[in-house]
Amino acid sequence: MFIFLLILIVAAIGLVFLYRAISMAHTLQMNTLEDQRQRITNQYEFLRDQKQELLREVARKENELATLRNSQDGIKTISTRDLNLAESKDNPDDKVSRYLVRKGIISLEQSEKVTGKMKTLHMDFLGVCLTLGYIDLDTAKATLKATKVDSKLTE
Amino acid sequence: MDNSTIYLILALSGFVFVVVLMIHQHNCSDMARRKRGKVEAVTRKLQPRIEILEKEIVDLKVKIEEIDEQIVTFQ
Repeated sequence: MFIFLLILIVAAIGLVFLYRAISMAHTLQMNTLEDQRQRITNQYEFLRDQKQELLREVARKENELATLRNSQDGIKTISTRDLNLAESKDNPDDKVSRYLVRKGIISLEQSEKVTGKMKTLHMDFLGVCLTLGYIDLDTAKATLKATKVDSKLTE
Repeated sequence: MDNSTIYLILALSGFVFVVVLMIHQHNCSDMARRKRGKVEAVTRKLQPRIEILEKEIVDLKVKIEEIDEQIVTFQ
């Protein structure tokens, strides 16, 4: 009887040890997988934030460059008359694009990028500029006023 | 209790212990498999984006350097 009880107790202890070993291995495996997931998510978020920061820096520096160019050229203010926008029969988006570039609000590269995205997004030039964050709403309204172009923004 | 009863109880206990361990092991491996699938899905989704972001960041840095040079030239 004693031997029987001894075998039973040893088997129970063995069961507990094995159970714990399996649980610990499982926890370790889950932690490793979670770390892997966390690492790749963090890397993605870090790069995304870095890109946003660099985009902001590029926009700031392009504005600075445009200001320097304008001051070099001696153009303090640009009106529609300077740009011959009022008389122009061009595409309204071209007018807006030229106006924004000449004012130094957006760069030439940004203008080209916006023109490229217009078909994809089915929006006009100002709409895409706003969507991409190149200009704010006040600038868009001021641009519309200056270029006298009808836009979906006015609707 | 006679010997046969004791052996029977021992055999039954052993069987129960083994079944408990097998169920636990199966449960754990199933959870790990599902988790691994999720991690692989996230990796498949994010890895191409990360590569694109890295390229874009390099381009942006180059662009910033170019603008800096232009600014210095104008100044």
